[in-house]
Amino acid sequence: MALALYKCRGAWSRAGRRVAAALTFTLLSFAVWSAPPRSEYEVKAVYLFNFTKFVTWPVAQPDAALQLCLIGLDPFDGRLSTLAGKRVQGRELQFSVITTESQAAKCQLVFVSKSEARRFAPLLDGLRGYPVLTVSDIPEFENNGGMIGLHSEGNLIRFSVNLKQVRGEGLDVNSRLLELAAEVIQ
Amino acid sequence: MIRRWRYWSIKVKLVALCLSVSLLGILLVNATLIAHQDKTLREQLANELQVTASILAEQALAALLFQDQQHLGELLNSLRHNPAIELACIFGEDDQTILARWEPLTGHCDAVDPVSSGGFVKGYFQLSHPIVSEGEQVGVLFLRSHLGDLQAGMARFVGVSLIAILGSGLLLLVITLRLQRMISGPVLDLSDTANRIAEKGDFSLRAPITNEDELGRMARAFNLMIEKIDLQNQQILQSHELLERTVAERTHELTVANRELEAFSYSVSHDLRQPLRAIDGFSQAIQDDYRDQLDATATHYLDRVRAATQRMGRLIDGMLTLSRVTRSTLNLRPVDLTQLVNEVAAQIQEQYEGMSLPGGINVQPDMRCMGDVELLRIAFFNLIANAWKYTSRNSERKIEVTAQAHNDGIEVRVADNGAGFDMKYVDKLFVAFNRLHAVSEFEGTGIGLATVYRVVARHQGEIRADAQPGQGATFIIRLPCSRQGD
Repeated sequence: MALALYKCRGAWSRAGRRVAAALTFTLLSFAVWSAPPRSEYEVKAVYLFNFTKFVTWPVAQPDAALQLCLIGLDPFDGRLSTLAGKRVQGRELQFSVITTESQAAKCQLVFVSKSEARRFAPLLDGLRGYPVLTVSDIPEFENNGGMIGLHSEGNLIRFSVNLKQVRGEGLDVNSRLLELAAEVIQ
Repeated sequence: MIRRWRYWSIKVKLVALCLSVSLLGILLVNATLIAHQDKTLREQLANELQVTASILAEQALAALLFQDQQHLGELLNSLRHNPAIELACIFGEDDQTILARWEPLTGHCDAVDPVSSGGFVKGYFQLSHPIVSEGEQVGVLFLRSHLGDLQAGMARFVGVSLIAILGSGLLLLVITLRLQRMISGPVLDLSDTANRIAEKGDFSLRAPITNEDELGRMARAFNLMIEKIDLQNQQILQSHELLERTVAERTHELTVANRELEAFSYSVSHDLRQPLRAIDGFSQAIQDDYRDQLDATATHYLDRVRAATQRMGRLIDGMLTLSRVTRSTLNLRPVDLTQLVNEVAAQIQEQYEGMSLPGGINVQPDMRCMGDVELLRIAFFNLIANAWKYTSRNSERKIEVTAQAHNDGIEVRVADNGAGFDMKYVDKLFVAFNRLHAVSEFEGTGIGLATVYRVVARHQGEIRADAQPGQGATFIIRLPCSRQGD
């Protein structure tokens, strides 16, 4: 006995209610993030860690540690060192504070502290040709040769990606991350 | 319904049997299919929702990590394309903080516990999918789907099943009605043949043999049985015919012999009369013509000779009467018995004038029957004459002739208060020349009752007697009143 089953696509009457509900939702979605309040650099540290999950480095040694480096004065109050030892994309995260661009070239991600606001250009020049993701909260960082810039919008921390710069160094950023970016410079 | 089972015809029984078994099978298969379909649909729903949840969780991961609530909201908003999903919530890593909600209907994320609620609950299917980053859970996606599609699908499936059951039931009915003839046909043929044989008694009928199974064997055995019965019937008929023929032959021989005997006895009696008349006539001539020459002794002897010849004459008369009663053709007519008996009584009173006593003969009025009036007259003459004779030594004579209806005939009783007789000699009563009393006591030839017996016998009647010595005798005659005799 062959009994065909047809999936019923009914319930059109619900469509109207759904539209209304969608409007309600939109209003709700602007509600305050109800997580316990965190300091700006606490959030930024988490962001740095999360960036490593969505960026693909050219394959060198798959097992090699993923170097997270800080250049300039530490605004994180030592929090970045707590990230060390975590594993991302199968690689162990290591943290080091660096001072020179030659050191920076060995890193996978370099956070440029605001203390370097006036002298980050030579650093970036020195990193040219190296697959190093550069992140900073220096204003206009991404428009001046940097890759990801962080900026505050009220209590929210947003980021912009200079995709051209990122791809130019052989790195790739997951599209999910780009979707969240405030601005993507092509 | 089951109680009436034994009244059903074999045809109906076969159809009912086949249909019930087949329908039971079909119902079982359908029930299994429906159960399986329900399970499959539920699994399908669960899988689809699981896939949706997986995709959503992956898409939500980045937004969750970067706390982009707007993006999460937009993500859940895309669920409007799947009308089955009634509620969707994204919780933070603490499983409690609601980061985004999709509540198109009445459900609320606040009422949801993403940790413990999953599976089919109260008309819903819901699941919680962890959002994992690098092996670490960073949030939970909760989805709830209503079962409308599933129920509609099941309803459709059950509907189609019912149609299929009905359809196959009808088809089965048609097939069963056709196939049952294979079994019920020979049985019906057999019972039909048996019925016709029983009703018409026609043993030439045979049950048709259509196949070689047990029914065929039964029909064959039945035919064999009928054949044997037929054969035995013919044998019985043949022997019966043979017997009839033998009986007819014997009867004929007997009749011829009887007739010869009667003719012989008639001619003997008739021929005996002539010499007897001569003896009597010449004895009288001697007495008349030679009276002077004869002494008293000779005259007495001659008286004795004449008395003997006269007695012998009466014997011969009796024998002739008996012979006539036997030989004459029976002429059956309605007879007024009362009148007949009265005439006979008058004749006897006249004949035996010397034996008159106080009292007389009582005859019941209006007695009628069928019979030969001459023969009946002889019979009743003998009976009443006997009664008259045997009451002649009484001080009072009382003879009663009464009748009453008996079956389809009449029972006539001739009762007297005469000498009677001992019942142990009753067997000799109706046999010719047997007398229960001496001639010196009561005169008689011993032929009278034999004649009565013959007359009654020729009327297909019965006669019996009831008596006690000194208490009188009663003769009971039963005569059929229909037109038949001999």
